[in-house]
Amino acid sequence: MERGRILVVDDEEIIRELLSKTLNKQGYYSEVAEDGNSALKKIKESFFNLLITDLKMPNLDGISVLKEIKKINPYIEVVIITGYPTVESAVEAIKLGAFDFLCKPFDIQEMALIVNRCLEKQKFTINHIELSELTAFFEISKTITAYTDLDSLLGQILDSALEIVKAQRGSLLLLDENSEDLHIKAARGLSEEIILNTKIRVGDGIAGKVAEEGKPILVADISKDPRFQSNREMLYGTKSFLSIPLVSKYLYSQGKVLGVINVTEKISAENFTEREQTLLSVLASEAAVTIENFRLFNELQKKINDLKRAIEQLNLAQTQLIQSEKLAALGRFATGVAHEVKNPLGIILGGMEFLELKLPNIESEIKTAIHKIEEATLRANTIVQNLLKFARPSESNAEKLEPQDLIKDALSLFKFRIPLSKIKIEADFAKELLYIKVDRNQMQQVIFNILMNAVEAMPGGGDIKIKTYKTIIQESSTTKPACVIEITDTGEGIAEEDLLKLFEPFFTTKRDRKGTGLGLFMSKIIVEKHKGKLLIESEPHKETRVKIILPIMPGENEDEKNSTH
Amino acid sequence: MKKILLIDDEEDFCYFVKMNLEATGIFEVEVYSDDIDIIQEARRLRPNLILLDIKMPKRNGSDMALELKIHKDTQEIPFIFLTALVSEEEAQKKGNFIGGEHFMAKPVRINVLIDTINRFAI
Repeated sequence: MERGRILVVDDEEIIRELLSKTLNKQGYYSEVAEDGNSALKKIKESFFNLLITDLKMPNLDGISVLKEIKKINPYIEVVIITGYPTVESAVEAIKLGAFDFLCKPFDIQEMALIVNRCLEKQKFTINHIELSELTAFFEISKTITAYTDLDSLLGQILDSALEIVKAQRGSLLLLDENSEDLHIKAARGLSEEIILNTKIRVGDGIAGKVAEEGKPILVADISKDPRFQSNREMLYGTKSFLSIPLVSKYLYSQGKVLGVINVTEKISAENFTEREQTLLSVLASEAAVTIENFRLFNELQKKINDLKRAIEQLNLAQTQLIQSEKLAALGRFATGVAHEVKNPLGIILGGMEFLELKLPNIESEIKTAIHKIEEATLRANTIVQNLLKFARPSESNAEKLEPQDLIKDALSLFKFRIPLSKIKIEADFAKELLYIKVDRNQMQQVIFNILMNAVEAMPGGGDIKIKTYKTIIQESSTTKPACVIEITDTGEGIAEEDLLKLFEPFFTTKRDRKGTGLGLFMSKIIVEKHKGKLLIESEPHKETRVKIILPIMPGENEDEKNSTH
Repeated sequence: MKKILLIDDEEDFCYFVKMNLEATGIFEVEVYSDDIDIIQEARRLRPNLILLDIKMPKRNGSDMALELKIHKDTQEIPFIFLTALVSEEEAQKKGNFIGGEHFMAKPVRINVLIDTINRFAI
């Protein structure tokens, strides 16, 4: 086995031939070149471990050769020989990476020693470079596994591949399971048009063949390879092309080709080597595992999300069921209570009326007492009536309407009943068409209750602002458009400790003003029956804002819009 | 003098309705708080109007109403349901008719009751 490949360059034929022969005798393989240009040509064509070059030569001198050569073969070692040594030229040569600098005439034994030492050092360097390559490799594998979307993962795999072989063009193609075509999923140095339009049938061209056979193909010279003749791959700038399959390692699909990595156009313009093919194959096997992991992970994630959604929906349905059962139970209870209370109320009222009738000329004090009892009886009756009114879900009579219709009706009813000399009411309705599906009477009752509370919170007068607008609400994992009816007053506000109790039945801050403590409780039940929400925010002594949030019905306009799309 | 038959399981309610109606001087009221043979009583008394509670422990007022309607001797007698099962507002919304029959929500103000009886009694 040869000890190393050496190129000897000198414009003096005697020197180069003598050196070459001596090296051959010592078991090296050597070639000769007469000047810098022909030396570079040889180095591009084949691999040399060592270049021994004269410094002063026609056309291209030794220093220029040295500069160029490292770009082509970074591993090559260089020994300079010269008949006109200067300190400057020696320093420059060593700086540019020359191993040694010899003066002519030189002892041939000394040269043999230097060559030997130089090649030993090179072995060590190459091993070291391999080691650092592998370390880079390991780093690449680590980063690959950290990706969460497939496109950037594939991009990273391709970048790693290009980095390992120091190439500037490449593509990563994945097999489409349905069409059995390879599609470009990541590319570097390719036009958008090629990326989008390339579809390679398995078996066609280099990549198709690699996908079919699951084995890498290394093409030294594209222009001489028949597989490229009728192919767009001719467009590549350099001759050498490397295509590596991504092969599944999984038990169920072992050996199945997932796709192909193509690389071409080395930065050094050299051909790809067997070694690079091996390195890329290692990367490809790592990448294949990562791609499959990624796919499995995504599938799993999707299933988990589906499951989560299902659970959320189930929970929602259950909550709604509990809610409606609660309402039904409340309804039965309320009906029972109403019946049991209304009868004695009837007796009390009848009794009072009887007393009034029997004592036509009673003193005013007794008359007042009788009136107060009658009034209290009627108030108790109002409470029970409210209970009854809301206890009957079956009576809900939903219709599609615009929130402003509701508000206008409630307002006219309201103004008719309540003197509003000190209260200013302003309404600001949404410009866009909003439709809600509600029981007109029940929802009017809600708005009426809220307006009533607002008026009672402002005994000295104030402003009421009514607004309607569209919003987006979060419901489990989805968002939905909703309609908000917002009523704001500038009244006394609600103390923080009372905010929590607002929706409790029989909670009232208006006991002295004959509040029943059922208004907001019932309003909340009604709004929730309509799959909506009732929210109250308050800043004491400043304002109170009540929001009725209801699901939006698709409007006529939107229906039209949808149908034309 | 109009004869009124009142059937309601609340004895005290019956008492005050009777007292209040009779205090006007134009009504004569007979009350029952038990399950009775409604047809027999109606035949005997020939009331100008019957006031009927709906929810009673032994027999429903609506069942009695049905009997009255079916029987040829009693089908001409008007009746009004007096019930605690609906609110006054509901009663008004439905035009005070349930199943074609007039009804009133308890508690009922005596002057409203008198007006209604005068409207329907034969």
